[in-house]
Amino acid sequence: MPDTPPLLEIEDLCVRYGRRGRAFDALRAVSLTVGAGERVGVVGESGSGKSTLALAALRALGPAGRVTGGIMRFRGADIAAMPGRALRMLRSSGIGLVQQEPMAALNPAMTIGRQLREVPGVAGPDATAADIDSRIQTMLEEVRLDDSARILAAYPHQLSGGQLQRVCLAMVLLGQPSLLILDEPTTALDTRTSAAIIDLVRDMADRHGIALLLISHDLGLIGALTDRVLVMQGGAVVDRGTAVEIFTGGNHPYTAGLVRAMTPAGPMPSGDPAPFAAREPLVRIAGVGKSYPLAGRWGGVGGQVAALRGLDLEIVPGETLALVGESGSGKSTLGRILAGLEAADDGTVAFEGVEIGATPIDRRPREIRLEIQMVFQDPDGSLNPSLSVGRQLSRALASRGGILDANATAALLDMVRLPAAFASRLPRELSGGQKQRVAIARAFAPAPRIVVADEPVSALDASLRRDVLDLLRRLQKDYGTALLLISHDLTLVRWFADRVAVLRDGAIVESGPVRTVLGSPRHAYTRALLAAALEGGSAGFGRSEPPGAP
Amino acid sequence: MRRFLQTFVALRHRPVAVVGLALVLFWFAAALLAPVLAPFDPLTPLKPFAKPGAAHGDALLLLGADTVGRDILSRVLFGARAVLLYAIGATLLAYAVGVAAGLAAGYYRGRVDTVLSFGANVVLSFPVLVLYILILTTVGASGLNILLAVTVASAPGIMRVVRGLTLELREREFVAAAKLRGDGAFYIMLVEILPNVRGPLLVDACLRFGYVIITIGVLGFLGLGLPPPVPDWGSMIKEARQVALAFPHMTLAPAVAISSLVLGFNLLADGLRDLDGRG
Repeated sequence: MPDTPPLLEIEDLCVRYGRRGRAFDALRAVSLTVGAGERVGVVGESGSGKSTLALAALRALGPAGRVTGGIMRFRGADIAAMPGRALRMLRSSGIGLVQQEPMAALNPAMTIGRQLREVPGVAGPDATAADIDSRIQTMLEEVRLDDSARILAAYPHQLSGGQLQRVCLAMVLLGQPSLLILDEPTTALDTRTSAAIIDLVRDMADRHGIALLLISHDLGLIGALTDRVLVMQGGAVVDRGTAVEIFTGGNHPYTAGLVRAMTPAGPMPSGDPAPFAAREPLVRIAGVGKSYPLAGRWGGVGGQVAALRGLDLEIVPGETLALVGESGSGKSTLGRILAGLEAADDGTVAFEGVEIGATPIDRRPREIRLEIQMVFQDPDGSLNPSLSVGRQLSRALASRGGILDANATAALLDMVRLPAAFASRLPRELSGGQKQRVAIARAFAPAPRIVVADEPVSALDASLRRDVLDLLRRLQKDYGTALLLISHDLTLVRWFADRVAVLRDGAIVESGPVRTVLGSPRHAYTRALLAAALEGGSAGFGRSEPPGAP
Repeated sequence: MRRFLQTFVALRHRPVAVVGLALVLFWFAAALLAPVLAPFDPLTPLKPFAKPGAAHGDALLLLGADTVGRDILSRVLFGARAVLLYAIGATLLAYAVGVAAGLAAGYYRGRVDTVLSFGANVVLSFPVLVLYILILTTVGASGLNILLAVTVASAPGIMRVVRGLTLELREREFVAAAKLRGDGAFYIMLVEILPNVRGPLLVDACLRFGYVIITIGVLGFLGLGLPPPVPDWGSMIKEARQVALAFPHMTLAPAVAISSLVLGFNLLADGLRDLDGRG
């Protein structure tokens, strides 16, 4: 037994949720040690028990979960036996936790400044208000939040996701933890922001000698930050090793599958725009603008924010056009205007010559209405939780008219590789990937001319993305449908689209065939996006090569 | 219906809810079987001021008799019929109106919402009892008018619940998908939105049901209930109020009946709420 015990030591930890009939083992004999200054990654899909591990280490499982076996020690002290005071010390200055949703981690009704001043141990017991403020000031500078006066006076909803995650990081670091647990810290952020956050975490860990336990489904992120990796599946550790070992396939078939699913498949399958160039455009978008009113301080209208400013775009039948840009660049707004869920303020959107830009969906002619369908980002929100899958699909099929029998729904399910028995299931009985398949089936059911897919796979586990995208592409080819793919993930776009349009602040800065635009970008903004994507930590297809591989 | 039954099967692990359900089922059984269970006719005077357990012929007046001499047990059993019938009728009617108004206000928003919400706020600004007295003294106390009064008083609250849920649900993507395939407003409200409101509404319905029973009791007590000689628990208490100190059994039986039935619905609502929260 060495003199100094490791920082965090977990042995054969078992955690169970629920009771008796409905019990579910979230962790099955998980063991893990993190030494001082070490950087350990835990990778696995949602439901593999990663987050439970983080919460268990802080004794914060909540009433539903129980530790049913195993030991957790922090600096040699049994976490389960800690009295209240020691537990508070553990949570405030032992282990810091940064979670996925910074918005949910902060109190929406308090300013950032007040929340930071509340951090226990922000300064010594004799510290004056000025001492505390100067510490907070220094910390905000360290996490690279420059405009600190504005940040401190702001409420969480007034800051961007990236800024909020920096605030959370500052908040945790103010307690001077010796171990930082990061639970999917960048999943809610766009590529460029998450690259900056990763950079920041690495820098802070270097500077303060903090150990890291990084929990993520993103192998790219794990590779960028950690030395040692655990692979979890179904609540158990199935593989462990150094980052290089894991990235070269590990010792377990599951690891190999995970690595394969996250690296792009060979050469680009598309990229030859020639067959599309000659066709007459299906949709012509010219000078489209859209603004939203901003809420004022007392709930009134406080000015306008422009989402789209004079945007021009053409979509050709059968092509895949990718719309890329950071969050807030207006990508989704354009998709919603095209689908008729929002109306453009000015400019024209012509579908085969018919002007539809300012016409909401319920006033469009029925023939056109069915020609534009959507696949949404969040598989949970896009299916009605109270209706069976079959009912939702058959309604979509019936929208075209014609005779409908049970076989039609079964055929539709078969088309997205789901068994016909799924027709009687409710959405909650499906996994995220299966739900997204149903949503895709629903979009293609009326045989539309164009499908708008708004971040169709960004809410899915990395290992599922390939399958869902393959499916989307196959259906698109079979139906000859044009696809407007809205994405922030350039690697995905490179692999998937024929043409790409780069959107910034509501206008197109560059567009053309994927090879041209992403191969030799002309605009500085496109280059910046590409650089951020290559820096690692992209949301899934991030790396073409495993980090550390020869 | 299958899912509705599953909900009740899932309640069996919650002792509190089981007690609630048992109380409710007990009174439903009493109401249904009143003609079989009741030892006497509830309207026939037998033995004025009889104490509980007094004999009448070869049968016993188990809970005694009231001032006119009618058997209290029989009156309580038949009273369950009247109370449950009107409580169910009034609650259903209130829900029909409240849900329709809430869906319309939440889905259409704008002017429809302004008008409906204004109407609801006007009604809600009256103290409930004043509202009942106002309505029933204007149109007269009768079974039908009790239904109307309860509907007017309860529908605005139901509307608010449904409106709030609808406002949130209408922004969900499955509603957008329904619009994209050409579904109209009525289909979206009834098929896409309404089923998702069911969970919270079921809890609300149980609580409100108990509340309506109290209301009917209070109205009976105030002389605004079902016209005599229908045995209704509220008017039973009212009739015996003058002699309550000397003959407590006359008020006790209907009072216990009202509170146990209301308690049953409230406990059931608690159990359903836990179930709902668990997903």
